Amino acid sequence: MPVLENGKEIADRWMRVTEEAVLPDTGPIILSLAQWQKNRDSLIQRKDPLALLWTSSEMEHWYGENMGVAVYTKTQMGLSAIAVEDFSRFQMMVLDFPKFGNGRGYSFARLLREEYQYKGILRASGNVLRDQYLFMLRCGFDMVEVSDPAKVAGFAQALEEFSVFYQPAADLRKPAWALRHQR
Amino acid sequence: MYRYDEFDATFVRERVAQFRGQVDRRLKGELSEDEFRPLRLKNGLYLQLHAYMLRVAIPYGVLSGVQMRKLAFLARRYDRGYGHFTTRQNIQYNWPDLPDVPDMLGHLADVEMHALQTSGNCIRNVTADQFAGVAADEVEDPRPWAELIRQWSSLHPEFSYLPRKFKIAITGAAQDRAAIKLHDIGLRLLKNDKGEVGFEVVVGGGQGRTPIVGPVIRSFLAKEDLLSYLEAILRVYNMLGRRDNIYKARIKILVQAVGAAEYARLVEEEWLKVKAGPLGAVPQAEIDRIQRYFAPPAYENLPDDTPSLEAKKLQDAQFKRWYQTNLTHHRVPGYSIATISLKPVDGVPGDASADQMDVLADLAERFSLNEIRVTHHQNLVLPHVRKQDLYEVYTILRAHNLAAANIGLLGDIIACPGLDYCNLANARSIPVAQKIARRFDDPKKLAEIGELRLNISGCINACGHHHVGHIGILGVDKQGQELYQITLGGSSALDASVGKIMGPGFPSDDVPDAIARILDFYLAQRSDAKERFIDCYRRLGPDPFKEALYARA
Repeated sequence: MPVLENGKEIADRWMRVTEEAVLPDTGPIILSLAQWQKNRDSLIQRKDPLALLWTSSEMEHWYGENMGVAVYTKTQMGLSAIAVEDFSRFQMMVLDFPKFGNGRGYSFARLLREEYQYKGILRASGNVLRDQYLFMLRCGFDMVEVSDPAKVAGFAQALEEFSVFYQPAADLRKPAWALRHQR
Repeated sequence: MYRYDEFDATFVRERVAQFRGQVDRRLKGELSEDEFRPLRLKNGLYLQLHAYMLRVAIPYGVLSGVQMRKLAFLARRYDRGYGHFTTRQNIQYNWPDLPDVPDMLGHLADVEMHALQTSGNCIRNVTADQFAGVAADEVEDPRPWAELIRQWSSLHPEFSYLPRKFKIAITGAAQDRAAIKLHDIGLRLLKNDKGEVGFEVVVGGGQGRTPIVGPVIRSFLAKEDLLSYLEAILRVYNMLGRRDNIYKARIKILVQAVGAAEYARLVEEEWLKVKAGPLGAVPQAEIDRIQRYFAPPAYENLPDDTPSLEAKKLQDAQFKRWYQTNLTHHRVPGYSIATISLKPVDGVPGDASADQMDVLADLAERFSLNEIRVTHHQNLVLPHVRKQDLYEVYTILRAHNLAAANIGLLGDIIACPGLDYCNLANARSIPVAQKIARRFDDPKKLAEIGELRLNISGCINACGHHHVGHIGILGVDKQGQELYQITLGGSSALDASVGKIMGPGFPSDDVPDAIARILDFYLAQRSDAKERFIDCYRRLGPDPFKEALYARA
C-alpha cells in the first residue's frame, strides 16, 4: 500500500503485526494497543522502533477515561492501556479512519500534537481519500496510507488547492487574520 | 456589511475550483456516488426526490441588492424562476443540473457569496437575529462575531467530519429572534454585573426527533475567548459523540448523556489547553477590522413623527394593517424595519420568484441603504426604511404580491418543502399550509387571534420547526395515508419550550377545522385580548385544549 509524505510516495519500512503473531525481534513494527499492554515489559527493551495503532473507538475510550468521563462504553480498556508518558517510546502513531466520514482522528491528532506534545510521526490509515488529505496535514499528520495506488497522483494535487486558511491548526500555517495585519 | 478582501476572494475562488474538480471526477466516474456524496454535501448540494438541490449560504441572513439580484439571476438561469428561503436564512434552488453547479458557484463568488457548509456533517452556516444592528433591544451587534465564526469554521480541518451536522446561532438582543436554545450552540451577547459585554453559551439544543431546549453551560464568556471556547466544545463532541447511530449523533444526545454540568466541566478543561495554543488570541486588530464593516450606515437626521404616513394610514386600510403587523421599531428616529412576508395565501412559504427578488433588490438599493435580511421564519426584511418612504415601498410590494400583512400571525406559517420535494418526508407540508392560510384568509380574524406561530414539518426531522410552533403540525405516514399530528405549546423564543403532542393525527382536509376548534376555544377562554395563545395554553394546560381539539360536533 502506498504511503505518502508531503504528497510524495515513500518507501514504507514499517511492518504491521497482526494480533496473534509472535512479535519479531527486529525491524520497525506497528503494534496494537492490546499488544502493547500485554508485552510492555519486553517491548521497552526492544532496540528497533515501535509504532502504535489506534482504532477510532480506542481514541474515544482513551480520551474519555483521560478526561474522567465514561460516556457510552463499558470499556475493557483501562487508562492503564497506555500512559501519556509512554507516548514518546513510539516513533510513530497510526490513527485509523474506519470510514472517511468518521473524523475523530482529526481531533485526536491535534490532541497528540498540541496537548500531549507528541513529536513523533503521525500517520493516517484506513479510508483515507484525497479530499481529506489537506485537513489531515493541517491537523498534524505527516503521512497517509493510500489504499488505491491509482489515486496517488490526486493526493499531490489536493495539496495545491488552497492558499488561504482561516484558522490556526497543528500545522502552524498562518491564518488569514495573521497575514492581513502583518502587511 | 462585510466585504471580502483578497484573502476571502481567493479562498472562495479556490473552493469553486476545487468543487469543479470534484464534479469533474464524478462525471468521469472516478468518484462513486458514495464518495461524491460527502463532498457535494459540503457544498450544499443534495440529491432530492426529483433533482439536485443547491442550498446557497446567506451568512447570518444579510444580503445586498447586488447579491439579491444575483440570486434572481440564478433562479432564472438554472432553476424554474424561483428560489426558496429557508429556516436557516439560506436559499435553495430545486432544479439545478450537476454540470452547471460549479458555474453557479462561480456566479456567487462574483458577488462574495458561496454555498460552503450549508449541508454535511460540519459546522453549518451561522445564523443570527435578523434585526441585528437595528433592533432597539440590542446589547451589541452579533454580526461581526457571526462573521468571525463564519471564517473560522470555513473548511475547519478538525471539524469537517463531525458525527453529525452542527448549527450555531447568535443574538445580541434581549428578545431571542434567532432560536438560540434550539441550536447545537446558541450564543447571546449580554452585559454582566460589571457592565462588560460577553456571551452566554447554550449547548445541545435542537429539534429533529429528539427536541431539546439547550442548557446554558457558561453564563458569561469574554468575547475574545469565543473561538477557543467553541473549539473546545467541538473537540469534546468530536471525540466523544456517537457515530454508531445517525439518530443519536447530535451533540444534544451527548450533552444529555453526560449531563450539562459535566459537559461544561469537560469543555472548561479542554478550553484551558486550547486557549494556551494559537487560537488563544484572535488579534484585536482583526476583531476591529470586522467590526468596522458593521458600523451604523449613514442615517439622515429625521423627525420620528411623519404626518404624511398618518394620513396614508387613514386613507388606506390595507396599508394600515400592513403597517401594524409588518413593521418593527427601529433604533434610529424616522426609520422603520419592514418585514416582507413570503407567505401570501396560496403561496409556498418562503418562496420568491426571480422577479420578486429583483424588485426587492431595487427596493433595498432605493429605500433601505442597500440591505436585505432573511429571517428564520422564511421572510425578508428591509432593515432601514425611512418612515416617509414606507407608503411608496408598500405600494411597490403590493404590486408584486409581497404585501401580505401577516407577520407573527397565523398566516406567517413556517413549512418545510415536504413530500413535494424532499426524499426524507413522510407527508406533504405545502398543501396543508395553503389550506390553513385559505381557511383563515380574513384579516380581522387574524388580528383577533393575534400573535401565533404555526409551524409544519413533513416528517420527524422537524425542518418546519413544528416542535416550537405555538401550534405545531407534523406529517406522518400511517399505512400509506398522510396524517397530521398536532402539538401545542412550543416556543423558540427565550422562554423556549417543546410542544406537546395532543393525540392521533388528522387527514389533510380536516386540519383547518381542527385548528379552528383550537382557536375558537382559545378565543373563548383567553382572559383578555392581550393574552396570547401561548400564554393562554400555558395557563390552562394541555387537557382542555385536547378536549376541544377532539370534540366532534
